[in-house]
Amino acid sequence: MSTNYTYDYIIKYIIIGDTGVGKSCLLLQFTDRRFQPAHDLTIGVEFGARFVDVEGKKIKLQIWDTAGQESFRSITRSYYRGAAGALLVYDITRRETFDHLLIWLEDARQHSNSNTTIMLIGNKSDLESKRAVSYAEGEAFAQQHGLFFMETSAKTADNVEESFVDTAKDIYEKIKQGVFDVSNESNGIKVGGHLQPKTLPLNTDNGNNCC
Amino acid sequence: MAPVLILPPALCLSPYGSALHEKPSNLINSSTTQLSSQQQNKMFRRSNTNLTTMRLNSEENIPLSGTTNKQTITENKHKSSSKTQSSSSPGNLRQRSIAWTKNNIITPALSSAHLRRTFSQQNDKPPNTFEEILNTTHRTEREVKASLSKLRRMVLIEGLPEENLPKLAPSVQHLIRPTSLRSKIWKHFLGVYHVSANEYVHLIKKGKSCVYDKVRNDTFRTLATDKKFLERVNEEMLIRVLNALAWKMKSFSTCGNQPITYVQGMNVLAAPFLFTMSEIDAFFSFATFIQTCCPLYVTPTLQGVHCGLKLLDQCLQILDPKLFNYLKSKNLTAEIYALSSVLTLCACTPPLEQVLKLWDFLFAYGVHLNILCVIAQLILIRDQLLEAQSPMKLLRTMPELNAKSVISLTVQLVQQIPDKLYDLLVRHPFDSSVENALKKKNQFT
Repeated sequence: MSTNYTYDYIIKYIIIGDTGVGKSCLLLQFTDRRFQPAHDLTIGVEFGARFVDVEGKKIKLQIWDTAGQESFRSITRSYYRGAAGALLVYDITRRETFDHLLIWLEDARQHSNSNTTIMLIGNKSDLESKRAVSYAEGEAFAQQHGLFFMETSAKTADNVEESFVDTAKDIYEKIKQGVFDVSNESNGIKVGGHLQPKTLPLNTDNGNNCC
Repeated sequence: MAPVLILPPALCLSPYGSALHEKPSNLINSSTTQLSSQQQNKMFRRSNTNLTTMRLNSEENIPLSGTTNKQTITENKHKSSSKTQSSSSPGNLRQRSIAWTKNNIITPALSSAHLRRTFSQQNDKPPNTFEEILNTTHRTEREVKASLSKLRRMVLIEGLPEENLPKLAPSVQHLIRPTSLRSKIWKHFLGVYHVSANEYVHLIKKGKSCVYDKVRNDTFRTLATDKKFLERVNEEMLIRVLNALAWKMKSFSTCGNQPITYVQGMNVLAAPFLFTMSEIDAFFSFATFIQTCCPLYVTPTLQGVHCGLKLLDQCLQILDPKLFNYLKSKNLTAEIYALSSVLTLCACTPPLEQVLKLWDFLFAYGVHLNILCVIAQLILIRDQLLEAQSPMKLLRTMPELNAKSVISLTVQLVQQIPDKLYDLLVRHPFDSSVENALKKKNQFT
């Protein structure tokens, strides 16, 4: 069933932010609904996908999870352009990851589509006792720069679903308003064809869709 | 049967660790013209090292509390072989390591005198096992080279034998380690002939380097799901080695003048060393490996890795155009699917014991071959890739590594790479001029 699942839209996301803030854990919690305390650091770019429902539409989120360290910046930059949604993540227990947000934001604004929806995420909200950045600060930063904002915990799954889905809702809203040119896949959105799953030949060329 | 057998014996005669630098067709006019002058210098330096020690015999665990400065392995060996198991060797670690060797392939009593006689004096019955070669005294550079090339060939054709090293209680696994054959072989291939406990202790005493926090942020995420690795290597060891390396590298910069400090991926590269060797051996082997084999892989911009990825695309286009074009039609280039395999020399692909076997091969013939090893891994799942609507799903995590099949396929692939391209492949981990050469796009196809 799932392999033949058709979609109304494919939306591309990118997850960015300092190393160690929990980007890969957020992705895993969202795609697999589990938290893996022991895992390897991301080298380069990893990938995940999941379907969500927005206003009855089947939307496939294709999510590129990027490495946080500067040495990988030249690679991760090339992913901005094709992304309609960006999750910018910091760690509420590590002040410096919040302090670096401006650098990330500049990078994102410079390299991404101007219509890209950006969600600011303060992760590790379960570690309240170690908190180094207040909720209000995060919220103020988001307001100031016109971003959505949420605090999440990849460990407890708190707000993880919402952060991905709310971003999708905003993008879908933009699609309806005609903000995105959906005929151009480089905007990070692909409209589903009316494919009949059972008659789909094995080697159908799906255009330039790499995933 | 195995394609490895078609390799001419002369292939293994290069003085540099990477005998496959010289492709088979070039061996008739065997020369070093393919290598940069810098590389030739390196060869020269390395030969000198060999001559001063003048024997392949190496490796005793030098205890951390060692009192001798710059104690050479040769000296150690003399002491230990003359006294064999009797006491009074410096420190408990030494004694234990001798006892362990006894349980191993050969007994220490046989290690030098006996074998020296069989090889050097009679000379009619050359040493045939890894241990025999390692325990033979070499009098000339030529003997050293001949033995190294023999070792390389043995690694390629038969592989290192399985070892039954004694199992230690988990509480002491991090502190003491029986010397494995693999650790000796790696040190010879890398040209690590001196380890200094004093230098290592000195580097550790310097405390936190400028990359300490970065290192700490990554060490607990290093092969974190590999139980065997976690049993043998604790986080502290990894932190010490990476932090000490940052201090050591302060006085070393690459040919492109980019400093080496710490980049993500080095944690994974250090892991197999710490798994295989004692901490001190691991440190000096890792440092030598970074400095001589792939300094450009760990610069702040990962210059060598990016070149390696471009070369991977170019090689794949030649070796398997259909697969290359299919992946390209899905926007899948090496930069997307192969970055971690290239940067970590496949150490990110489990299981670790297969990684070690692959590294035996890479250290014997050159780490540049890893690019072709990655291609070999693709070709091994070629049919699945070509049938997959979403090949990226398959490539997210490479299939479990099978060193033997990857190596034998890689050896076949080597023959099909045009000489000019192969030359760039050889040089890309250490020669910064490769970057410019690659900018002339697709010049080989």
